[in-house]
Amino acid sequence: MTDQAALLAELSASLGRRGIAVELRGRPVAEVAAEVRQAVRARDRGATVLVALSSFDLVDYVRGLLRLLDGLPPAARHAWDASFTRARYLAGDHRRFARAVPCELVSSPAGAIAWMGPPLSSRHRAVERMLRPLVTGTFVRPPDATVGPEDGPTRRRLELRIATSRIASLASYLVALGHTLAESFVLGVLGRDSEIAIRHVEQLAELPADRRYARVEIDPLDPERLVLATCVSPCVAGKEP
Amino acid sequence: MTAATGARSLVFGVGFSPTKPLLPTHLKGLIWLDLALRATRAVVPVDCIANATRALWDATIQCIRFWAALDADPATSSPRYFDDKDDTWIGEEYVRKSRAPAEVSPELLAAYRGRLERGWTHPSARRILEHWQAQYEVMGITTPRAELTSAAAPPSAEIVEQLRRLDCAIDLRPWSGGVYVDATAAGLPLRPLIDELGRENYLMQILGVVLGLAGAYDRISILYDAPTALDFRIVAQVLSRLGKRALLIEAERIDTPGIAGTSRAGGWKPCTCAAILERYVPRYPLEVVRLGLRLYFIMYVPLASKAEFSYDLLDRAMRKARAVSRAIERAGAAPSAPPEEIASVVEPLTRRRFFERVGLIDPHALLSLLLSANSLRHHGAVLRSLCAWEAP
Repeated sequence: MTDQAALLAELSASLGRRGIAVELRGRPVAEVAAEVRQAVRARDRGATVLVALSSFDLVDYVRGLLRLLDGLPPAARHAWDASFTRARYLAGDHRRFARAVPCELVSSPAGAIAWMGPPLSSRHRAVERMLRPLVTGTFVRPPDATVGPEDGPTRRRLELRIATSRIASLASYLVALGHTLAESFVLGVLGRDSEIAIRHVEQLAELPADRRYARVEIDPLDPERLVLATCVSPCVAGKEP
Repeated sequence: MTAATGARSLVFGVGFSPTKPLLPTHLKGLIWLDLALRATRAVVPVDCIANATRALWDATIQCIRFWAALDADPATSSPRYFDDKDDTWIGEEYVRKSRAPAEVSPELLAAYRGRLERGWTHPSARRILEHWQAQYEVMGITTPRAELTSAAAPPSAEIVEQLRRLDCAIDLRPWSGGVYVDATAAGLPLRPLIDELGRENYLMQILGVVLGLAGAYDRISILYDAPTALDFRIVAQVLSRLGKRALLIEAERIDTPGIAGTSRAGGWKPCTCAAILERYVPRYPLEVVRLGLRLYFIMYVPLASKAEFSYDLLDRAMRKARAVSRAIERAGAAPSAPPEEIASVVEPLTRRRFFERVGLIDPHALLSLLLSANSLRHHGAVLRSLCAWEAP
């Protein structure tokens, strides 16, 4: 079982980075969660991204999101980070809807996924009204994958581990993965020159000492506990993760 | 499937589920379509599929939810239970059950749809259909049920595959998602066909029937009620990708006075078809009732206009119908007109924009023409033929 105090410290650091100071230690998680949510709302800069999917492929998704992050002006990237890299996932195909509502977007290399914003324009809002929220049933875990740079040499090798036992749907999987990639990018942990080995595990039992990024969430099955949702660590040469 | 009549045009009239009595909105569509078809067929062949695909409307989630609730209740599960019930009674039960709708599992839905495909009819629906048929006969409506009855939707896998080939499908089932028909390229909203639990909705069935029939026709006219307009604009987009011309005919609803919402909300008891016929059949000859209904539902509440049902206006329509009947009688009109005479009266209306736009003679313009003093003097028999004056 992951050490709750360590997870609390990790969460505190993540909030502190965004200028949110909440006293977490020695308090019930549920009580802290309400306070954190309120503080997040107060700091929110309203930067949201729309993600439209007509199909899903893990490698295509990761490369597309890195394209988006790489192309964002620093101010927009930091505004999005301040809004906790919030994203709304939709069913939709930009190769069709953009014919009716031309708008700025970044598409994944295979073209099945598109990111719009930040910031969202009135055209993006029109697209959102035209599409449907991504609603899926039982989560189908994608196979592990290693995503190399779309172009250019590999300069960093990282391992991204994601705990799937509490993930209920594709949308909640994308939320966890998307936040992890986006925040790691903003922190400089990874970039378009990275090779990222994505590993799916049932649970992440402990915070690795060599982690570069960790995502801590309130346990959806037990609101009194924190759980480690994802973590990013360097790949050690010659050692299979 | 091919068009047996040689017609290159098909009219697809959106039907309704046999879970409640016929209400003014239904009568408006039925009566409008009956006259439009009688007149159009005098000059050009046209096929029609309306309540022919009754199984289509029976397969909706709302319908199956109602029947499953009846079947689960020991008080209403006997097959003979509905023998002494009428459409109003069953409709009221439908309203009651709709107040607390039960969840319909994909398995339950599939089981009922399987039975429907094998020709099964729920006892309550059979009873309602008997009442509807008797009412059609009183109103002189030729139900197009006998036509194209072999129209059946292909399996959903084939429909999705065809939509995919037409570049208008999103299929997220590999990730436990749904299937959508995607006409967003035309600015229309993305529309689910199968939800994440695997439940297909009515539009899937409609697309299946329309796509299955489309090959035999050059153009397809679709008559639907206004609140479902977006769905049928999507169907039209899909047909246009097949190279077919889709002509949309939108019928606005007739509201029940003082009641908001659909027939599931109830409050319609004073305005059912049975109540309307009960009010007028004892007071007027049958041909007057038939003409009065056509005057009201075609002339007084035009197809594309929203209206509230009004007995005052219907009374006025019946009085007008009686005056017209007497005028025709005085003019010595024959009981019915030969096809050549009907064609000669109708033909000029094929040059109107309405005919070009929807592929049918405009019943409103036709009645206006037939009710002119000159027409009543010379073509009273045409009015009699087209408005089902003949004895039942």
